[in-house]
Amino acid sequence: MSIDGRITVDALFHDKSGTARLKVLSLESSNGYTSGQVVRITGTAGTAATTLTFTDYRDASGAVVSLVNTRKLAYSWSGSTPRKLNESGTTDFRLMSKSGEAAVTNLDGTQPVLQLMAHDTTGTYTVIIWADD
Amino acid sequence: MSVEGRISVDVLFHDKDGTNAINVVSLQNATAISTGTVAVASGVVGTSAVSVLIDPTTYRDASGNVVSLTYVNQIVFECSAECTVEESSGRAWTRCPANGVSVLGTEQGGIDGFVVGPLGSGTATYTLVMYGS
Repeated sequence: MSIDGRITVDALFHDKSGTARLKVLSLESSNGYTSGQVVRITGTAGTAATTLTFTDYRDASGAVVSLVNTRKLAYSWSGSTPRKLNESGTTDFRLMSKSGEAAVTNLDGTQPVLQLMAHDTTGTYTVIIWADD
Repeated sequence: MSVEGRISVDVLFHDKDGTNAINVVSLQNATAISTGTVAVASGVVGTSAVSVLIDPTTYRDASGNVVSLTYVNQIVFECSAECTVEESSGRAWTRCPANGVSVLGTEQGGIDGFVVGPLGSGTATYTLVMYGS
């Protein structure tokens, strides 16, 4: 099963007072993907630390998707205070998200061991991982 | 000086074979920002890590005032070669691809800055946009 996709980030700020000395800050990145593998892990997490597994994810053909060379990860958490997603195998990243704000990171090519750290509220999470194999 | 802006992330993948059982995985978030403070730090990182302070920053707004941050909600980071950026506390960190952009929520309080670190042996230029209050 082949895939098509994109990861786009667009950040823009400007001073809104005054007209003559307006400053604009922007960062933008858009990458298209036409090969590789992708998995999604989503669910509801309680307050305890939770290990996320994606070994049972299936593509549209019903085939189990397994990742080898993981390259990109996006994460969001619905709660109003930041919850950390840890990579507990090699500490490749430590991401924070709140209120559905997405965090995006590169991965080092190894299969991450994902753990939502303990938190004071319950909520829903979504993780998407793309691998180039 | 007040600001207006957005941080948008759009991640979407779909199977491109078949029509009846197509799988779509997506994670999209667009945060419109009409209050708060934003600052940008840019420079060159070599073999040693670079510290970026949030109070004060080296950034000046359109009025010429130095911008300081007490809390940072989100950062957006761009670099010319693969780098990491982390809270100075080490509680959150992300890996950014060469010529790409990463987005990271933070623990918001209790940090005094960020640390930009290189993953390779060369140098990289970086831009770090910090949004907070």
